[in-house]
Amino acid sequence: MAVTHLHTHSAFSFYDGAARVEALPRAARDAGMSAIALTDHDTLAGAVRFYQAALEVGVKPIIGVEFTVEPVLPELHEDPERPPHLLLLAESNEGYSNLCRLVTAARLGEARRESAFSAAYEQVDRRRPLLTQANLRRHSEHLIALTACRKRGEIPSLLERGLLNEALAVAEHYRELFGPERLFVELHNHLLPRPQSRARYRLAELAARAGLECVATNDAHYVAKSGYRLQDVMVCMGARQTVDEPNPDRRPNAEFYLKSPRQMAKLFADQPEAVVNADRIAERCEWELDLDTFHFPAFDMERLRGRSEKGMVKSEKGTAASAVGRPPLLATCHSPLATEPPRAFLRRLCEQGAMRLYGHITGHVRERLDHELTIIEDKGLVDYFLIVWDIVRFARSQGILCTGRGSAGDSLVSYVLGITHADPLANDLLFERFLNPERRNMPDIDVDFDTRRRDEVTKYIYDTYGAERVAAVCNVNTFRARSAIRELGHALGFSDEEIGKLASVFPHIRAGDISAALEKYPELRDAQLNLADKRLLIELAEEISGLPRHLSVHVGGLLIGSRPLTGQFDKDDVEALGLVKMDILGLRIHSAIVDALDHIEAREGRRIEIEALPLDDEPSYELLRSTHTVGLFQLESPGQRNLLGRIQPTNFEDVIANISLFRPGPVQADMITPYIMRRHGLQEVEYAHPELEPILGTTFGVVIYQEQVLRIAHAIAGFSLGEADVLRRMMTKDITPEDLEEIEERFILRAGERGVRPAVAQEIFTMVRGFAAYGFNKAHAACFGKISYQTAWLKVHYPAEFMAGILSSEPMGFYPPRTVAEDAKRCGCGILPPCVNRSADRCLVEYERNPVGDIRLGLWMVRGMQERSVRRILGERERGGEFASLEDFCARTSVPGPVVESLVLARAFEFTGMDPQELLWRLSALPSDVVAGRGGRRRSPTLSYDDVDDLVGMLPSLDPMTEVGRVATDLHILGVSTTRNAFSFWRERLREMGVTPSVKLWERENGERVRVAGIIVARARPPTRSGRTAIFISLEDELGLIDVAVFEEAYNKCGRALYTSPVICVEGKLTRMGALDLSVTAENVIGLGSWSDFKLALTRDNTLGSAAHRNEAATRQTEIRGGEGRQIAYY
Amino acid sequence: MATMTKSIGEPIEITRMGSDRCPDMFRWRGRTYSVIDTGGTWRLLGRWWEGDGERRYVRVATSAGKTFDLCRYASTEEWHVYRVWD
Repeated sequence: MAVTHLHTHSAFSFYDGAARVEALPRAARDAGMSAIALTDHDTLAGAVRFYQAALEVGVKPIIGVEFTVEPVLPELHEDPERPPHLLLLAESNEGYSNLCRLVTAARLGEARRESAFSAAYEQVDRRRPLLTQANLRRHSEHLIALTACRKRGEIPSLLERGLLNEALAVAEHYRELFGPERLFVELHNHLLPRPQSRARYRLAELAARAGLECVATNDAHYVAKSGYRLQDVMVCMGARQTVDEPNPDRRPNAEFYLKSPRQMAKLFADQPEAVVNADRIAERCEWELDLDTFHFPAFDMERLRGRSEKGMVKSEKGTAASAVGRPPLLATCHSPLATEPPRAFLRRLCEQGAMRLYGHITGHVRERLDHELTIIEDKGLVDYFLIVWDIVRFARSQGILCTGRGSAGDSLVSYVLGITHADPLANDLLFERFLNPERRNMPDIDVDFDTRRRDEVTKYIYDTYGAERVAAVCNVNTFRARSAIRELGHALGFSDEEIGKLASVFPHIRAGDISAALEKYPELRDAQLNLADKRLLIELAEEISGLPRHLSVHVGGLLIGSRPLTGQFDKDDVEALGLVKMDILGLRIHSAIVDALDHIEAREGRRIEIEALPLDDEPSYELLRSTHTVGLFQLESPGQRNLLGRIQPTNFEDVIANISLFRPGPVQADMITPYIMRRHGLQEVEYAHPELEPILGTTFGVVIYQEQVLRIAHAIAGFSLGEADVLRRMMTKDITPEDLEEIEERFILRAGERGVRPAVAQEIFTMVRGFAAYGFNKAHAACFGKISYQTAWLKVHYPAEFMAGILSSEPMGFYPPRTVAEDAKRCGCGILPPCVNRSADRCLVEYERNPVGDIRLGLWMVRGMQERSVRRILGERERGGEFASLEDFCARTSVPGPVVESLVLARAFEFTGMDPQELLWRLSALPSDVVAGRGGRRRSPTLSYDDVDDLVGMLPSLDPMTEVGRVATDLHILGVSTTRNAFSFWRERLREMGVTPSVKLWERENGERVRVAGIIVARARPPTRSGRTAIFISLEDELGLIDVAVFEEAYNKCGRALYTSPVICVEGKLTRMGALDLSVTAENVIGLGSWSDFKLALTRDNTLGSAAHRNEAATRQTEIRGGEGRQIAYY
Repeated sequence: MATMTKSIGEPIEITRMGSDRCPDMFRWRGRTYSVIDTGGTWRLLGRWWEGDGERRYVRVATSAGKTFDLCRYASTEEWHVYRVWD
């Protein structure tokens, strides 16, 4: 006898099931079962993985859901917070569709408020789904119903209360709905004491009276018996209780696991027909997911035809006068002709795009377009490309900056349609890497949009394709070290303080790696975690690692279906199902770029066509070579800056290489050193075969890109590009030695046919194999590189406008606003405090005092600022003109008191000529009806403005805010210093400590011992070739950034200081590699205190901020700005 | 007449174990009891987070006319008299 488990929960029954969904079919197979069902609570989120895992091990998958349902007899239902359960299994694919519909109906607002019971239940917890009887009736076909568990099934629980007739009435209700052949009374034997152990006999009697059959299940919640601890504690976690507290959902024993057929037969030895029925039901259930077909939505040609040409394509914002570059992309397009099929329309769009971009269509361009379009047509992807084109077209028509990313950049069609912006011909990119005719792969076009306007794009998609056919992809959030420790810790009764301490010391790692991390990381070893009593916590955390914790909405993934979509699928499930996912992502750098372009347009009256900038601007490359790249897209991290210094880029190809090389793979494979040595002529470039030279010439014989692997296999062994991509993918994955040998033989044989000697072919194969795993998609690097280049160009030519854009788009990138602002100052920009009369919501640029431009901080940067307050301030200023005084501001805007206080401290009322101290005094004296949010502190309802003046007359003599106080207040309220660098106050002290300022390091020799100090602004721990620890830190001192490398020995010695003290002093050796690459290799790290200590020290230390320091700083500022004030100067 | 039960919680010595992993004969308070029938077995979870695992219970009728609920602790593998039915 096989005995099929028909009632089985995985961890997708959140906080109830503890089984990994993939482990269930495996365990079933191991126990000799031929089928198994998955029946999670109210969800199908685990269905696709379960299906795939079952197929993999050759076990028949059965899908079901244990629904939370509206009771048939609500008046008898005792606990309205715990509605009954009903288990439904899909008998067929139609049944599966009905399950999908029921899951959706149980979750969506309108559908679930159809009865008084469910409306009341929604008040209890609106997130918890509930299936109404009306919805169940609508979609009850092709489903087999089981009466669920003893406690939550409506029939067994009524029976347990002795209400036999009522239980029979419910059975009759469901019998009428499903028919006797599709309704089974579920029996459990969980080895409970009496009277619970008798329940299955009473249920069998009821079944007999109702004319129904019984089925044996085990309501499994974990795979093996040992899983009970985790399951029990997860129930406690879900209820936010500790294990010491009782909870009706906790199981009384450890019997709820996937028992073997023999165990089940023994448990139901006296009810054998119930066991037989489990197998009979399993035989009846046939469920198949179509994993072979893509489901593309059709592009609606009629919709475009319906629009007039003029109405359809709005001209892009500000495209009229473009001073730089070619005409704008996508400036024109056409509606399809009356009879034009999508294929022809796509071809026409491509030709127009190519004409626009290349001026004329050469044979090469036409050939490549034909090649790509043929594959696109063969794969049935015409509509998909048109849909993406249409979305991008819409975005551009609205002035929303967007760029394609990823392997879509390998396609000329994507480029000429305006989806991607790096020329695949100029950059030698291969279409087959994106869409391989040899493989059944899903095309993946990801597009980044200006973060602030991404929702407009999403709305367009919903409006165009209909809400029922568009769905957001879900994200399965899993337990990781920190979340596992926090939740398990609470349930196991540890104090908040203890849990917080433990969780916060862990880096963001898998929960399964906790023990290894405790061994590995010195900051954990030295953290005195008192682990003696936390063994169980750590054990359970490792057990829970990777289990689903909750579902959330994927950041950008949208599905567009050819028919209405139901279900909860994550991105992998979606791909398996052949649904087309589009990543509509938000990219903050786009917001920053748009801001910068707006500022430039406001000043110069022309819109820079950023996407069409020529890629040969020497000052931009000079900036990259200088490594002063704070704010630049993808090139600002300490590691990237170090690499820029070593590569010394002079053209766009170098930028692409820079982005591609700073990845874990190339670092581990040490591809960087030979590349740099050869690039600078320190090592000779040799090619094993002359055919390699044109392929690897741009990268000096080093295989960096996946596209190069394809080209080599094509050129040397005569593989088609599609075959070559299959080869590359095989080499990228874990491959068996046999498979590798087979590929190698094929490679050498085919190369031999082309006259390549076996020894040479062997050498090339070995080289390709070594690099294939680490190669980077050049198209992606080119797409990103283009944005990097644009940001470099903006920073060089418009530093104030660009840095204002970056500051407005925070949080983004690697560095805190404080560092970005300091960098802006080094570029010659002033930082001005926000002003209620001048500031906008975002940062602006003012030119009155400084030709480079001063950045006027936006209102958004003020601590505690709310959207409503910003709207009021800007709206009132527009309506009634500038504010005359603090009192006028308060009276006209009703901004809450605490926000006004922050504005005062941020010096947003500096125009009044009053010191913040005096303004705060005035504010406190204002009538409470003038200052909002002061209800509780009402002073005198009759106080008038005259009274305020009188009160102000009583103002005690206050010293104006000191310089130190001002910096500390700035940092607290705005996050940036509008005046001096906070570190400048420590200059004397650090000099006494023998600390070398960043700018003076250039005067030191390579290998010299130095001592440096600063605030840690970025910290990265990339994987290394040797597997040993290397941490790269950017320290910021008064005058600039210092790159510090901490290797394993130093890290083991003083890792704790690195992770607990934001202000550190580093002793070590100076490394100078080349003219512009400078770093300190740490030998010792001393923590100088916490950030708050540091700020405290600032405010206390009244010997700092002397006139001499101020003068020196002023002199240096002048030096930085230079005569013209446009040059970026670094010390 | 209602049956009286007493909770005991005292360890017993198993003098003979049956093939179904239930005691056949055991000593309690100096007297040996011979099991003549078993009346069901059940399991309950203890405070596993304090090292206490699942407990196995078995109801046995003895030749002395007493019915016992015997219990085995997973942590110590020791048997106890959990309850006596007089």
